[in-house]
Amino acid sequence: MEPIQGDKLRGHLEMLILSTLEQGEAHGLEIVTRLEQRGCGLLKLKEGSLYPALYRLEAAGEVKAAWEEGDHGRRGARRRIYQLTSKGSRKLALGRGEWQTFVTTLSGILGAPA
Amino acid sequence: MNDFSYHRLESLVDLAVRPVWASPRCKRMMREELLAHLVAVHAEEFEKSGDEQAALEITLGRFGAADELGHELQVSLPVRKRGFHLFEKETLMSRWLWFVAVLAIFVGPGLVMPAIAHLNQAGTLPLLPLAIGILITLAGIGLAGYGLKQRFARIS
Repeated sequence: MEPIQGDKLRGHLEMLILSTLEQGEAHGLEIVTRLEQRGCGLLKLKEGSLYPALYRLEAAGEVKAAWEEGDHGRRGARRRIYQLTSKGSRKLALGRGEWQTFVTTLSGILGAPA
Repeated sequence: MNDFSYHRLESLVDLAVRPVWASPRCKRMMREELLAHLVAVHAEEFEKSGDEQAALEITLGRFGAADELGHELQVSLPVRKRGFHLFEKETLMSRWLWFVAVLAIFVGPGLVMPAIAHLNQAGTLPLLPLAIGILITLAGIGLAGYGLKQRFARIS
């Protein structure tokens, strides 16, 4: 199967991030790892593009972030730990509903069951 | 990680973050977080291959292009975070410079104007207050110019 990457992912990245944070708080790299694991290796994401999405979610109040304690040998560079907020949970629930409608509609048109 | 790899990762982050129109604090936060990510990815890749150079190449490839990321970072910032950095808190020294500059710009003309008024009324020009007034005004304008230059240098 072809990997899913670039523009195909772009519109859904924020929802995907929210869904990974539902498992618990995580830093950027951990989010990437979770996405890859749940995408069975088919999700190919340029890891840098995760951060603009995280900043958008943070600005919208859908996630909150806190600096981790210490740099853990990364020469002074600390990570930020992201956590889902209640607003983010509501958006995730709404997004799931919309996705379900989208998939049902398109699979009917394409004649390919979801 | 050796210094070469570290500096390479640092310059990638810098290329992405430098053009972003945001407050210095916001850019510092981005730099630190992105660098932490890259260093962690490099460590992960180095553990797999044991090859410093290969780990660096894979890390850069996984992260993506700096210019694209810079654009995405800019777009991700709300408008209020793009413009208001001009009014962000400065260092103590810089504040004092601004205070002196503004004071000089007000005090200088306070000496120049009466000197010119004296010229109109009495027909003589009091040179000493005029010269001091002009010097103080120019010093104030110079300091303000320096302050603005510092400010814009910090933003970029």
